Amino acid sequence: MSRNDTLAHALMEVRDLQVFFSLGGQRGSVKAVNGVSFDVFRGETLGVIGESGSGKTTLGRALVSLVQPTEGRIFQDAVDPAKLSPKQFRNHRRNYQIIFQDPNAALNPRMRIIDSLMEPLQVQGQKERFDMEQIALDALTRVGLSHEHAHRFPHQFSGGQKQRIVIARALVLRPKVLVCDEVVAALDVSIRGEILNLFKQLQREFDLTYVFITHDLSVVSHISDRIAVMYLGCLMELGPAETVSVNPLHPYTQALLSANPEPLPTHLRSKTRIMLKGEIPSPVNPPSGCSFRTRCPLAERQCEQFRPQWREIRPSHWIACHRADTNGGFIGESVLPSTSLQNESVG
Amino acid sequence: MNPSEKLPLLEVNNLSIAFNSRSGPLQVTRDLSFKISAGERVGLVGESGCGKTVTGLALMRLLDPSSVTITGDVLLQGRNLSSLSDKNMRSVRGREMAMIFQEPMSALDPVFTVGSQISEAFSTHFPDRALEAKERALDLLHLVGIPLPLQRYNEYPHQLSGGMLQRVMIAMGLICEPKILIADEPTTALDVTVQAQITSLLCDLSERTQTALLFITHDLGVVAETCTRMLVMYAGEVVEDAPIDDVLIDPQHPYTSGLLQSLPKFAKRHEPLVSIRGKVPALNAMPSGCRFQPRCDHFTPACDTEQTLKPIGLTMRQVRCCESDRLSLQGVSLP
Repeated sequence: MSRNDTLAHALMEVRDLQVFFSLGGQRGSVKAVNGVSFDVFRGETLGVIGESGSGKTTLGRALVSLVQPTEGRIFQDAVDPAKLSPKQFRNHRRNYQIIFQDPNAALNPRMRIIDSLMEPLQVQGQKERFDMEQIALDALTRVGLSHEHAHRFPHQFSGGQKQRIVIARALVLRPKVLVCDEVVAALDVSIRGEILNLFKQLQREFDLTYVFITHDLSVVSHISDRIAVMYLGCLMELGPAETVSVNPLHPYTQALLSANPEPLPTHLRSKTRIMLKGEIPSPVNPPSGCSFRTRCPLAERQCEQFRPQWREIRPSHWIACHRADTNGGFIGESVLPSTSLQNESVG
Repeated sequence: MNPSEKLPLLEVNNLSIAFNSRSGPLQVTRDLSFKISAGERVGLVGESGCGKTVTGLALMRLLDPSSVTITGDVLLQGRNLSSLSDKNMRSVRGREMAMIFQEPMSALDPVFTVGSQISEAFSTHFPDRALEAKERALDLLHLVGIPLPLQRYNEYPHQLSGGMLQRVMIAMGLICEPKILIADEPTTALDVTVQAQITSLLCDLSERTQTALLFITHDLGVVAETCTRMLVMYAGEVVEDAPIDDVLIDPQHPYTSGLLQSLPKFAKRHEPLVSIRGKVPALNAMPSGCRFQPRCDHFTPACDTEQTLKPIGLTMRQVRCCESDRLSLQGVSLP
């Protein structure tokens, strides 16, 4: 994978990662993450998009060592967390935090908000209650809630407010890497901007790195530097945010973009829409060859027979598709800036 | 619209909903008035806590009368639903008006097959035609695009995916051929590719069967692609009511304009997103006069007086803003 030469290593390196969940006995396993490789660079925001069941949540959990890889490696700052002692590991992992998807499940219903917010600090050994309260109240204000909310219980909040509290709780530890799993999905449009701006602002202040997992294309393309597209446990495409969100090369990315509902008046909406048939297949029994082939409008025989190679089709633009560069095909030709580049990348 | 021309299917007049609490009533919605005609698809848009879902529940009379005070009228084809007995209301609910809820996973009973839950809706309303129920349920499963309906009919909710369950909910809502379907965030829990399938399904069904649709959502994109008209709610009030394209191109209420501006879609990369400053007021601390006034950039002393929803000229549009004809607000524009 291409690297910035000034960096010794990427902040996180994921190599051939597989995460399988056994169903027990002869029933096989859920192939949640099925062989992905990518880097997360220091200070960047890597957006990961995909439908539910694509394995993006499992990938996020693996990145913060909440699930163990079945195969493959994850290096966090060149450290393989699997090789650390329990004590080293606890100290190490405070830098790799995750915000969960479902705020209702993420907050203890019997704890007051202020206690939930202070708990990570207590786990990390902080003792001064006054300091912890100040940090917690500050975090609460920064996600758009007020101090009066601090002594309430989770059930007294709406889903949106609960997600804000969960965000506040992750921010109190000021981690290096924050994996954000659908963090703005539950927030209102008018507050979403504020939260995304807050993420951006904290990123600059504390040199944070984000892995932003979401299904919302407009959010991901705004906040991310690079976008990775996942489908059924595999990466389909990974590249600079502008390229992937405007001129994607993979047929799945194109379909995803086209399905995204646009708040535009009739005359500004694109008329053509790639409507994918059916839903994502079962990850217990993924299709042979390319995992997207069963819904792909362009699938042909080779897509069934061979798994497409994960290759760098253009500098910093990775793709897994047999047909992405078939000459005179429909994909990519018009978006490549020049023929020479096209020839180069096709090789 | 000329009243003699067509009686609206659903007419809501000055609907106000208040939760009874120990410290007195908490007003959730105030002075809600709108009309929906047959076959119309109306989007009810607003942020969480603005009273969208409660409005849907109140229309269905699903709120517990002992803890909620409701004033105002809901007329379904001229019949006042608020004066119906509980028994009569039960025969309306599900049959003439049906509702689809946000999370299909929690709206279905896990211990009954999806088929039995769909046919139950029919056999309850038409006990003498109970034998037809299964056949109708299978037809509907087919109609909403579930493959192998016969097999799915006998499966339990946990065996189906979220998209499939939402289709089951839609089938359940439609089995008695209601005149109006209230869909409360029906696609929020679903993936975009599946959401596209469900919204186009709802559009097709409503066009084919002239079922009116009240689409409750916070997603302006979904409303733009699904609905013909949009009601924008803020802090329990409808602040704007207009055909969808008009709202998007030329919003008349500062809140609507603010919402549109805050969509990441229209923001330039690496620039902060626009958001509406401040936050939605708490139910027990509503500002006097215009409820949006503390967050509004166009505030004038006139905003201190109570605002009413008033028509704009001779158009189909209404707005709750005394300054609207003096403002020129920004609609959607591509970056």
